[in-house]
Amino acid sequence: MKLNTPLVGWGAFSATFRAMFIEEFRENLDFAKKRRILLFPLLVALVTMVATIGLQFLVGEGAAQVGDTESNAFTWEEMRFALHLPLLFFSLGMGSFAFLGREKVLARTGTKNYLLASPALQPLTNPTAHFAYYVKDLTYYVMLILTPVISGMAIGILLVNLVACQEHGSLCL
Amino acid sequence: MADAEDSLVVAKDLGKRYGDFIALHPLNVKVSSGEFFGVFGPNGAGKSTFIKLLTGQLRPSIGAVEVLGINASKQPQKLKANIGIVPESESPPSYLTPSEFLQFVGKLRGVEDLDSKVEHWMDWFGLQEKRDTMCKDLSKGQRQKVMLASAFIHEPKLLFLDEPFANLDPIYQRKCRQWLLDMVANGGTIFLCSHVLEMAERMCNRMAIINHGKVLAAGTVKGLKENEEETLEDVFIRLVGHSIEEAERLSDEGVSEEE
Repeated sequence: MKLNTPLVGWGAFSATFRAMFIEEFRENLDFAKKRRILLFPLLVALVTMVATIGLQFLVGEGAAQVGDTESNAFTWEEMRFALHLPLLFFSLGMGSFAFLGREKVLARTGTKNYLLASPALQPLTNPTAHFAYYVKDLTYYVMLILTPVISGMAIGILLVNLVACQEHGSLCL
Repeated sequence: MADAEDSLVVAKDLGKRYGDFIALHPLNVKVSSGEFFGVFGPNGAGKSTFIKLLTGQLRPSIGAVEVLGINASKQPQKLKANIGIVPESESPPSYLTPSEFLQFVGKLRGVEDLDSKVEHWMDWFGLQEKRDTMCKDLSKGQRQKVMLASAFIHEPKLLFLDEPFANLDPIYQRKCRQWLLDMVANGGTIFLCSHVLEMAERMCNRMAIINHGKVLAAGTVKGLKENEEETLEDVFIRLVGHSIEEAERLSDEGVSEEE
């Protein structure tokens, strides 16, 4: 009897990755609207850009340009102390989201079936399925978070330089 | 029973235990090419465990399984590429459409002329109007059709079916039943698990009745009956009913011993 050979290596990975990529996008759409999903990286880029421009004023560099450093800016020590509070709340928020959110997500997706379970019935190894899942998650992280953060910082730096150049009345390269 | 060379499924002293609980007592089974073999038993008898061991979804605690000459524990991927499995309760991935899932399954199995085969099975199961609907939004019966299509798409010579018609309407039950019978008539082999005895009467060449992980009887449907008048239901109740009483008696004895 002639036996089929299952797809292995790159072939199995790319087929699984492609299907998982679609699955992830649709699952996100199920939680939020398409507009919100697409606006999320823009929001991240905007916040990063504002933070990049605003950071110089917080640490005094920007304030130094307008003169009165002492009254208009934090010192590095003051800022370091003040940053602890938002960081504490951020960590508490993320921690509670991880615990409570997990329950919530499970309640919503408990009846769902995912491609990650495919190796049980399909000729696919668990390592291939898990690797494709990991690469898919990494791709979404780069697309939705890392790229917008870097873009936001780049735009912020560009704008600060542009303003500085205009103030000095010279071309900056 | 057929010779070992003809046997597509060979289980030798196959057993499964979870700690102290024995899900399947060691048993021997051979299923030959062209057979429609059924395993019947009440809920929790060990039917699904049995089928999972044969298809490489579970590793046996004892014994070995060879299916199509492939060791199910050592080469489960190779085995799954050459058989079709329809599990009792699994659904297709929720966020893919039926055609996307069939494309995915077909690619993994290296199916040639995949697009036309996907279209064929979408037509056959009447899923065309749901082709852009995600599987999570399909009815249970439609999801079952997708699972059946995914098991049929590579036209395997051996199918493992666990309660395959559980959610299908009578029209598709009949259609699938006829397709399976035609498949066996053309040399295919089917291993079926169910608690619906009517399927044994209508479809199986040979059958086994199991309960509490033990084979109570095995043979042809006709051979299991004590006389002409006895129905398969009578046989089932005679065998399983007795073993339930036996289990209750043993359980009572166990409790009294501990006390």
